[in-house]
Amino acid sequence: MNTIQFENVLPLPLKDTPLQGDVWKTTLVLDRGKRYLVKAESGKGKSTMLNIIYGTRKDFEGTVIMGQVDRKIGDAELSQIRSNKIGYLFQDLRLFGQLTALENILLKPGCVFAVSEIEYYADLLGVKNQLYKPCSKLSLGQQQRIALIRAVSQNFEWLLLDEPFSHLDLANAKKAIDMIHGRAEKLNAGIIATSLGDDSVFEDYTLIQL
Amino acid sequence: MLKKLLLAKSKPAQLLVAILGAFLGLVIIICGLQVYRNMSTLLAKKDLLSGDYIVIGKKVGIMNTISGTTPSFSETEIKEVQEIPGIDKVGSFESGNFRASMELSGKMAEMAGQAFRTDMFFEALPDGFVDIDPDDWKWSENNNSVPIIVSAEYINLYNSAFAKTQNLPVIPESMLKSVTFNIKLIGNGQVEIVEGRIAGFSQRINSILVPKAFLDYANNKFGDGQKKKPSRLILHSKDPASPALSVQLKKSGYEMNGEKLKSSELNGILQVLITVVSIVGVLIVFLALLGFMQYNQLMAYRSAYEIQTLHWLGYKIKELSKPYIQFTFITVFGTYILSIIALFTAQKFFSSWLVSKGFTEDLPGILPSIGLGFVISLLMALISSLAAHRQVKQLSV
Repeated sequence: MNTIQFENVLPLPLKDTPLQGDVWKTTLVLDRGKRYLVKAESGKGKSTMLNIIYGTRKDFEGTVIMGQVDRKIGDAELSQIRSNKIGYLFQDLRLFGQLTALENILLKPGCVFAVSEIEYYADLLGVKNQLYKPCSKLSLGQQQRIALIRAVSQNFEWLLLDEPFSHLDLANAKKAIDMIHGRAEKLNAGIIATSLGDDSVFEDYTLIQL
Repeated sequence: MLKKLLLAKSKPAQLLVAILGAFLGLVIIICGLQVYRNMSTLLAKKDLLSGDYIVIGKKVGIMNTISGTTPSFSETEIKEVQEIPGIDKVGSFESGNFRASMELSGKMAEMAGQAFRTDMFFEALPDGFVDIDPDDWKWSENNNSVPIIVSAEYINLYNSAFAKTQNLPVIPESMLKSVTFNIKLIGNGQVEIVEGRIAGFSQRINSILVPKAFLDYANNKFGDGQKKKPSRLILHSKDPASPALSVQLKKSGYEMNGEKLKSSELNGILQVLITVVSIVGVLIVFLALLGFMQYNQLMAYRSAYEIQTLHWLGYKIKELSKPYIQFTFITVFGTYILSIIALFTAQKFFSSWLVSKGFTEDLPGILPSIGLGFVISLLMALISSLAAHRQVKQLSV
């Protein structure tokens, strides 16, 4: 998947909204290896865009072409893509509160991290002590860092980050983005991130306006 | 870990109701089938006399007692019976007019540990009226073993009452067939002992039959030379159950052997009863199936967030529905095994009850009932698994 191409895509809920951005109802080509920041106010469809790429939203017109392949695929291939090709940090994190942080990461299909690697990254982000606690006992900021480690624990060609640092202070966000960039460069992956406001950590990102 | 996430939020009470229902329904259906097969075997035992035969006799009145005569059929009466519409063959029971007694011989006598001796009488039917392998039903002077057909009633009476009161061993039918007897024939100042063996049992003939050739020989040698008139006739009719025929026979003052009618009536009632019970059983199974489906649905709904998230993380729908399918198969087939145990216990109980009542028939096997239960359980498990899979698919989007 060297490119992700949006062709006249329009989410059905945005049908009656006036549009002038770079994504909806136009052509947009994203290249693997580059970093993109999607900026917009709430309700303009940032998460929708990521969900359309990830295949969790199908209520849209137009076509999304990913490396010459149309998005209409079977369940097995979808699972392959989600396990090996696209990593995703969900805005609502989607951790299982009843499982420990470590279990949450190990549960991820396609996880290539050994427990020692997970501990290394958790140490980097300052959550090593939280790994063996149930996620329900963690603060939102700690949960977000666990979810980040889970997102990069698999191999990926693209990494989708939906407001990745919304619960982190700048210092922690910087540590996190360093980890993300390290993994993405190693895998030569593209990054598509969304953000609401402060984007001082997204220095060299190509801006996409919605 | 998947199971922990997907099946954790289940409430056992609802499941228990479904399992109980499935168990009850399964037991009703497979035991219904078993009861039907048991009763068919007990009621419709293959008789040596096919169903087209009727045995008629005359009523015994007080006059017979006083005059010392037995009610019998005269030549003209036999002719009259022959002319009744619907009857195409008439045979008369020929009786022996010599004294006879019978005792156990060989191993059985040693086993019984005491003499088993009883007075005997013999009758014979014309050839062609007894439905038995002709090779098993022939006798000649040089072939000394006499085949005997005994009324099954006599065996039942012996086993259920006589043997107990006289401290004699109970003998199953199958064993009796392998036993030989010594038959002592007495008359005209002569005594002869011949070997006898039981060739078969009949529900329909209340008598002890020997081949006509043997009776003729014995009557000739030991009899008083008088030819007795037959006291009973055997009739062949294409439609022995026809009411017109029985009315005609009753009008002439004859008594019919009603055994056949009773058993077919009983069979009919039994069939209706078991059909009704089975329908109830099927209904219960159906409700239980709905229960299982609903329970799966409920479990999946309770784990809707887990299912969706796991699918988003990259799990296949197949992997996510697998715990539900496994769970369904384990519960349904666990229930199935319980119902098989119930069936097995009931059958064992029933057969020992039969033995205690003096019945000696072998009951039919329970394999067909086990098979039927398996098919029903498989259907239940498959249908509710399919429903679970669809539910998971719906929730994973």
